[in-house]
Amino acid sequence: MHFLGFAQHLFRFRKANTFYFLSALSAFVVVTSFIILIATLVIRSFPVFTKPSYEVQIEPIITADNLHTDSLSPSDDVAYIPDLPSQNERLSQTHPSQDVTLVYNAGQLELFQSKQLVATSPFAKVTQVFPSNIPFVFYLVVSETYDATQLFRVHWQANKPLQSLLLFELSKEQRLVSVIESDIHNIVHLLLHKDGVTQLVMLNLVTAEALTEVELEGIGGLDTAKRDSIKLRFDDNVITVEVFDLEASVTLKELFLPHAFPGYDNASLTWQTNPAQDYQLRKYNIMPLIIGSLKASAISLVVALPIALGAAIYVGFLAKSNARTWLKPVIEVLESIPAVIIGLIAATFLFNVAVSILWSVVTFVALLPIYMALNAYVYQLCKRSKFERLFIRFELVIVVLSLLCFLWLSSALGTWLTTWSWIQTVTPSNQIMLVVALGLGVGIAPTIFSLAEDAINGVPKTMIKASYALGATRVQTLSQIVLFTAFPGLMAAVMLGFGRAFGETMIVLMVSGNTPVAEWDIFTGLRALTANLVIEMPEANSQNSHLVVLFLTALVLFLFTFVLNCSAEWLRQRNKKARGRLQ
Amino acid sequence: MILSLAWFRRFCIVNVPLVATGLLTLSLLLILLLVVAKGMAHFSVKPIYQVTHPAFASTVLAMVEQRGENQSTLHWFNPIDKELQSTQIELVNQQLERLPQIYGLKTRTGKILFARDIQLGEKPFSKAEWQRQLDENKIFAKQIEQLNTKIYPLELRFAQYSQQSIPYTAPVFVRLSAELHNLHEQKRQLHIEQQQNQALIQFTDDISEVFSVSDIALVWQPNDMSFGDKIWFSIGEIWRFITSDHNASSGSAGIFPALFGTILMVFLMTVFVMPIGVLTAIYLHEYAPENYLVTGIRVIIINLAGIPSIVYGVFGLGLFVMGLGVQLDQAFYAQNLPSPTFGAPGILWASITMALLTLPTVIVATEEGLQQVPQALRNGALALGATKYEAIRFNVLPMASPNILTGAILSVARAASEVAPLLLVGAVIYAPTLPVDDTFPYLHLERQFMHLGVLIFDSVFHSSNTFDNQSMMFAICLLLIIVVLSLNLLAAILRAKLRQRYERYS
Repeated sequence: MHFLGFAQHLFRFRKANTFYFLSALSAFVVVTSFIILIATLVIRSFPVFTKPSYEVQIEPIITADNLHTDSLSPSDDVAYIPDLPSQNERLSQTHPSQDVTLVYNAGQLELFQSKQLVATSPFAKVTQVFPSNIPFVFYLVVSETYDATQLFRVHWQANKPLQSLLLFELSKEQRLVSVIESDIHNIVHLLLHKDGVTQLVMLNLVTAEALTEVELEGIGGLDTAKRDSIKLRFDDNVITVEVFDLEASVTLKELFLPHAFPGYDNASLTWQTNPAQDYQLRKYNIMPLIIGSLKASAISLVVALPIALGAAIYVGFLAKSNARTWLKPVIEVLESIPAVIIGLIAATFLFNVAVSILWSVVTFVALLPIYMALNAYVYQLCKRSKFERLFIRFELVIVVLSLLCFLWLSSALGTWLTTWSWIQTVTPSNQIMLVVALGLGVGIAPTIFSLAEDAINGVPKTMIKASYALGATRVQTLSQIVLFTAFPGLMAAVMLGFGRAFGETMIVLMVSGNTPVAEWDIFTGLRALTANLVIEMPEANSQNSHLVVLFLTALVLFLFTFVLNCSAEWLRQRNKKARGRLQ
Repeated sequence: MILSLAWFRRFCIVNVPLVATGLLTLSLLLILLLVVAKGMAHFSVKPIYQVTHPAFASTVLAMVEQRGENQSTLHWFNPIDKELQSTQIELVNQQLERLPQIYGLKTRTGKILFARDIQLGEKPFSKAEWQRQLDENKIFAKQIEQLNTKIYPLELRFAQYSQQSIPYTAPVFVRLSAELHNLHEQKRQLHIEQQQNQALIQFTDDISEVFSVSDIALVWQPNDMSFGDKIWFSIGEIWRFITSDHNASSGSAGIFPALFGTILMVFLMTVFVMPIGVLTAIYLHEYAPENYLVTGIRVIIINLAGIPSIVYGVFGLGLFVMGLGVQLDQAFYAQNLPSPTFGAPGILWASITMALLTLPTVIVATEEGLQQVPQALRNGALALGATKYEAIRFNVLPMASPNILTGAILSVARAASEVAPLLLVGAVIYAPTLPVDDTFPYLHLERQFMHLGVLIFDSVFHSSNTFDNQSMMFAICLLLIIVVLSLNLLAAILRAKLRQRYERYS
């Protein structure tokens, strides 16, 4: 029997230990999943911070009949390129696959398509012309002086003059042998000869940064080029240069700074991951998206903040306490309404009236002081009448009804205003931002409200009572005691609301029109980071840098909200501690 | 009085909050009202008018939507193409005529027809006659089915005999073929009888078409319905909306696959999230010491709650679909590798992602419940000799169970209303198959699924002006809002109940 009792005892404790172990394990799982989340985002976007690399592999000697030259590599030109041709010599290069020829003739570049001249432009001192494997793209070597030699990328688009971009400065000893441009990455490989050494240099086409390079003894020509390997021929030897981590060819400069993209007149911040033309590059500049997100969240805060903070003050301090018990849950119902429904309503309903919505909002804001003055006057009158108690009890219902009338009035006025011809001339054509602001504002207001109300309600009642006891009025108590004490909490609420607006996806996606424009102007479109992820992530090509950049934008989103959350939490904790000392 | 400073302060400090609260409440009310009104309108009976308008050569039958002052949308029936078309024209009341005898029909393929008259065989249309013919057809179909079960083994034997090269003149063969012939003859007779139940549908005075009775799913006479009929019809519409299949081509159809996909995803998510969430909360509140590590865990939970939902979607895509899924495919599904099995978005990855998304909700709700259980109860249990585990298992957890349930409900509501991450990890606009069917292993976790929110999202981008497309979206919105709000209400009631129960202890 003793034995049985001991077994039971053991069993009891084993169960207890298992339970303790399981609960600790699940806490560990939570922590690990958070770490894995960060790790996934960081690892997937890590190629942004690294660079691609070359690795040389020497293959055994290949017999001559196995050698084949790739059609797109101008390997035969190696022998024919003259050392430094005179200025007036005629240079010409033809694209192997297209019937396009670029001719340099006496300071003029001339492009022929099917033997017809389609474009000319003046260009000084071109010494070499290379065709690229991309249609309508050529590379020019220009020698201004004997010392400085520059490499230009020239491209042509129908009905436009030739455009050129400075890429690289060659030294005196270096001589360009061939160029290999990648079709899905923004890079070009340059094969250079320098004092009996063959150099392979990888350039980023957007920023013109040299990403990586490799040096090989001896003079070699190009044999074949593929995306991930380049074969060079040295007499009888074929040396394969493997290219690793091509998706890492995107650089931080490319992501954040403005660049002069081919086909654009000035340096610009542009996000366009699928180029319309072959000669164009993939434009991975995430600034338009960040600006779009900031713009959307800022403008929605303009709508949400007064409403949410005002409502928090009313519910947390001004309203009678029994009103608070039902009013807070009712407003929090708004928080639980799916964002996609708010988005649908904004996109179908508000959007249909967008022509007059601007002027309706303008009238609403303009008439608001008058409305509120009227409200306050009626309030004063009613407070002195015999219906005081009834009026105070139903003040919210009365205000809602009067607001409904006021909204209808201002929208009618706004519609009427739009019939004026003067108004029509000053109305901006793009009013999407207003719809975004209203929709997103309604979406995030309940979050801010809920947190701010908690902060205001958390102000110790003893302080408020003391304030009243010292003779302060309700208004004085509110402005000098309650708001002052709750200020860190209110700040935290605003920060969390901003984070929520920054991370909100569906409303922005459905309403904003999703044009990535890097402008702070209110009346242009926008594309937010979040919306961009939904649009492009499912179809992103995992072979090039697109997916990497998208993961980086997710990391940016995460870090932004992480910082906001942590600082808001820090504010709240500090506030709680300070309040704890007071009580 | 008006311009005094005190008045101005009062004006600012009291009125601004009041108006702000009013605005917030008003926007809530307007959203709910809009969704309810537009959603219910989808199920209502709309009258069919006879329209005489210079835009049409002859009179047409049409439904009128959005009667504006000068523009109104007309869904009119084109008798030549036999389909509904939408136009925007100016209408005045005199051009509309409400004839009592006009029929609306829905075919089995989801098409809508408007007809002036229907003849069932020789008789005019009546509900009873139509029902009788339908029942008759059903009986015929059953008989044909029975015949088929008889014919099939005989056919098999026939094939066997001819394979064994038994001569056609052999008595066995002759008997068999005679029997088969007889059965086929019976079947043909039944088919002919079934075909006789036909409806002659008169679209205009000179255009008509013959339909088999079983092709017509629904007939109604919107202009000739009593109030009770209308209510009954609307209830039927709601039922068909919820239970019938979604058909992307015909547009107007039910949402059953989306509802099913949402429920299944949420169910799987609950299975993943509940144990971990509840156990974590128990660890944090009952076992964990107060040190920096635990503070760190709390910070992590707060941060998990604050991460934008789309980041969870990206994470799910990056880790589960592109990482784990690809590995799984290489290890277990190598035979069909070029086409991915788990290496593509699917319901399993979606539910795990959503589980992570709703984890903080469950933890916070459970911890709140544990906090409300009075310390005296724990101490009492320990004093009576219970171990800490027993105190938690038999005293604390049962008392906190309403809050755990609240956590589950809130997480379900959150998962049902969240759309953005699902777009990346598995939800699609149209899935040809449900994730559950009758082939082994019955629950196909790798399949993509449909989701109510995704349908709503899609409607904005691919809005077509087909008949009832937009009102259908609002009907889906209504369903979603009813589900989410009732779940939230349930959670609030449960929470309030628990708070009340333990108020006297604290």
